[in-house]
Amino acid sequence: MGSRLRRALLIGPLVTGGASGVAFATGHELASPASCAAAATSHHAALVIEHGDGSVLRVCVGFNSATLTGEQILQASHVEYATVDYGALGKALCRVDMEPASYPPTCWSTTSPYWATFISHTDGTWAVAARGISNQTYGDGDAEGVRYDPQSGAPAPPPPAAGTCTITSSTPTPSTPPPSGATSGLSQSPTTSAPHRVAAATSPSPDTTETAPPTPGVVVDTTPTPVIHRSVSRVHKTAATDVAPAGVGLPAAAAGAVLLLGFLAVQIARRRR
Amino acid sequence: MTVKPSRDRGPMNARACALWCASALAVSLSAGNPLYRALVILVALNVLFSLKRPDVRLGPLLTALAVAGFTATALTVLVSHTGRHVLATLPEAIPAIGGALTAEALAFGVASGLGIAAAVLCVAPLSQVLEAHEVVDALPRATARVGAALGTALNLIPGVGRSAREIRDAQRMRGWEPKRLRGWSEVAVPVMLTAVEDSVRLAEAMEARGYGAGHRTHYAIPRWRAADIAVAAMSVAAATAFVALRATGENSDWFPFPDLTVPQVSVIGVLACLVLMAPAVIWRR
Repeated sequence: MGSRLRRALLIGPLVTGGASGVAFATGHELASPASCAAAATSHHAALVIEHGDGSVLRVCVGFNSATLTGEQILQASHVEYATVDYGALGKALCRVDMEPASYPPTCWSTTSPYWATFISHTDGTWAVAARGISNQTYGDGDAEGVRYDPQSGAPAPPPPAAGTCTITSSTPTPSTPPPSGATSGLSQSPTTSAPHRVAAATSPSPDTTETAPPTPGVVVDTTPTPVIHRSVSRVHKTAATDVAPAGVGLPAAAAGAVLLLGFLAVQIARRRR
Repeated sequence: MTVKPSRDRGPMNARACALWCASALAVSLSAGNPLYRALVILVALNVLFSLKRPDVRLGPLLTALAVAGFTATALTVLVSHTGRHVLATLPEAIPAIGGALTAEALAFGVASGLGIAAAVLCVAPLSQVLEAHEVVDALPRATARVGAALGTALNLIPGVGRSAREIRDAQRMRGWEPKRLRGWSEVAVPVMLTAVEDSVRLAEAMEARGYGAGHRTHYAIPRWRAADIAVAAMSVAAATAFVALRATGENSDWFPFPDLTVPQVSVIGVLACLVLMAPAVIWRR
């Protein structure tokens, strides 16, 4: 009983702490989703996330201040992410959109894949971001690209950000797919019929008017081409395989520990006698 | 296999013991997971309590490990501010340790502490179960010389400490006071000369007993009994299975960041840890 109370007391601050961490409270006035195209927000920045399996998630963030940091773009996108503070360098991006499941205290090991961050200005070419995401700033028309990159050689850039923030008022036609690089992600599009956590599921019908989640300032690209390739099915699959052995492994470990403790107790008792 | 009376089992073969230590160390170092580490610690404690020499007290070793584990935990919690579940927050003004103290860092610190304890307990039988001369005897022929030299040198350390105490007391009786750093030369020089004299005497004694005259002879040839062979084979098999689990990616490192999760263990990994119990079961009292 006491331990349960203590746990409740512990969890209380954790929940509030977590909530305040999520809140986007930097004073940037954010606009409603529909108004990005209508230019109620004067500026916008694109966020392109490429997962290790090649699936791509694109989000457009509208803002009114002169610049945003990379972290503010991620916060505004409401995509899940986690960071480790590297002091003067800023924050390193350790996890985006639930990938990877866990990481060492230094964010990555010498061999693990890592989240490479990129910046792209209006010309559309990606450059590796020189600073941590909390220090790297992005202006109007810039794009923030993050790619889960194997630690071998120079990081390859994510697919182009072109099209992420171009929401035309006319009915979008299927003839405007995101160019070139996104095709690798497109190959997975049939599997994306699973429910999306980011509520910007794009149905293939051209007259879709799917809106972004009811969070101010986030404009998710709603072009008819399925630019959001969240491989939800893959995530569920790995989760299932991870859980299966745990069902047997943990009880086995517990039984083994009890056995060992019992044997140890007998040994010590015999020695004492 | 029938249970033999304890006389027939004899003491554990030193090389079999060394193989067990190496296997257990391989398991504990490739276990990136606090649950496996805890299992290895329990196994090693069982082996130590079953086989330790009668004159050995495990208390100091266990105390030292507890201190090391606690230090590792405290340092990790204070320095690593990663993790989402904040337990407390130190003011940011404090250099290095200021910031959030998280449950994840605490879990990671405990896991590191368990790793230190597991690694040390796995090699503890070399000093707590075997006699020093047994370890030197167990060395392969190519390293016998180096081993003998190292063993002799290590054996001289307590003697040097003893003579330093004696000489300091003798100098005090003569009115010497440990005031200035220079004054300590009056103790250091006689200690140095005594140590040189002791090693010359030891060298003469070894020469008188025929050391270096040819192949070394042994008073008793350490035998490989069935129990020793069984322990060696089971230890190596357990370590091989465990390392293979890791190489195939079945058994990967556990990290509590950004959210605390329950470490995953596989049945084969748990069984590999339990197989390491063989010496404790065979030589149980």
